[in-house]
Amino acid sequence: MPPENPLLTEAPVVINLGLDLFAEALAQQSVPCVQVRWTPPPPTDDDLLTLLDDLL
Amino acid sequence: MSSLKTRIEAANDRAFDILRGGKPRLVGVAPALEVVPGMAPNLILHSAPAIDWADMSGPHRNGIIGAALWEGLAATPEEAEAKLASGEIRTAPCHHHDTVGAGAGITSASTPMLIVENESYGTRAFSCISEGGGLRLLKWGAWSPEVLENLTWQAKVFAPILDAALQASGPIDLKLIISRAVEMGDECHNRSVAATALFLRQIYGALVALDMPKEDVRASIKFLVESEHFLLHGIMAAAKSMLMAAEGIEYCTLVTAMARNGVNFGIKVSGLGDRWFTAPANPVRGLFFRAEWSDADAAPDLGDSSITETVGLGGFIQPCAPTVTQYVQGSVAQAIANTRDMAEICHGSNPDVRIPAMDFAPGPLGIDIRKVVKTGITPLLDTAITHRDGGLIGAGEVNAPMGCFADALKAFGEKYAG
Repeated sequence: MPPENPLLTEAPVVINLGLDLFAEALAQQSVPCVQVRWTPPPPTDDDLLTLLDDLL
Repeated sequence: MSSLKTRIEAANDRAFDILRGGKPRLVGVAPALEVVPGMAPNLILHSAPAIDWADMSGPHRNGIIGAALWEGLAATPEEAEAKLASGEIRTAPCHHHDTVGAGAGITSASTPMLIVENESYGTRAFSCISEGGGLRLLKWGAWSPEVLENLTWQAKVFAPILDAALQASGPIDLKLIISRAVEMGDECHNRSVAATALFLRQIYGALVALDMPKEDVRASIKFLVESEHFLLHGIMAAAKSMLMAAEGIEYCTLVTAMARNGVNFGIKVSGLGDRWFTAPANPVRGLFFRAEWSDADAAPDLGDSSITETVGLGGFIQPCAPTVTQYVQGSVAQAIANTRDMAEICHGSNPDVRIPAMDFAPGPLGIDIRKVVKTGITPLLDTAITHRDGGLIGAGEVNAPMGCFADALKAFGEKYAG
């Protein structure tokens, strides 16, 4: 018999990356959650990146 | 380092020193027609960037109609609209006339203007006088007989009294007020209570000693005391006067203006002349003052008040004003993280603006378009939320769109990197 999944038997430890909405929903249910600020990297524009190499 | 990079760094150092060395002082009050360069009786200014009458947002349209009625340029809103459409009444951005306007930025010939001089560099900038508190003001693109009556009182009674007090007191050092206010709970955009109190402290003695009708002086003092954000417009003109001195520096990649017209967000860059680079304005996230209002009621980001962030105030130093973070259900920790983000896109820091909650660290100053594009971090602005049909409905924060910075960088490359 496989061991019990602790996610089903214990309180989850939650780390939320990015959108605050999910962390807020957990907070409203009194579930502890660590919110990590993260946004997707900016879209890559090869021309701009090449230009940045010349300018910065 | 290539010669191009060396030139950019030298130009940016120069612009940064100019920003740091600016010494804006409030020197007087006068009608726009008398002091604003290029002002005309049939001209109504609005917050930048430039936009045609037909494309303007609700707050701009309503505010401009209200100003046309107030100036007597039209007898009815319909007549005002017809004259605006035909060009008989002209419109232009405040920024094109060395002026900055909060919200819709409505400024007409009779509008009493705060006059701010940058003593270090001789630049002079203007901003209309605050109309006081309230949700329905011309600057929020709302007008009514009461709003226009208040404007008339300001122009005929309050402005001459304030100017007389300023002439008696001598110029008021706005740089010093800003430096103290950021250590007293202001970030000098969404909160300028401390700055206004410091200003009142300096002007009060001159006001009470004026040899002018006592009832008018009393009413003026009452208005000032009740207008807790009165000095914001003076701070905006101070920022503009500091940035004007840093305009037109060849090879410089620092931003010299950020403004929003309720449709587009625009920036100007020192090394790229008078050209605006624009992208669609973002919606503001924040707190609505009444339960009946929501995102669906809000106009996109609006106003020239982002000139404060352009000199490293407002959203760049949120930890200075913990109360402001409540608009976005934020925290001091989040505000500190935001300031650290802003430091990543700035040329340096400003020892004249200290952040108590960060062990008095100097605030970030001098937005560099290269760093914005490289990091993907855009300037964070504290701002009001305006109803799409006019009127103040909330306050919060908004990030500048990336598109205008990317376009500016491309234009910079075309001009300087060939």
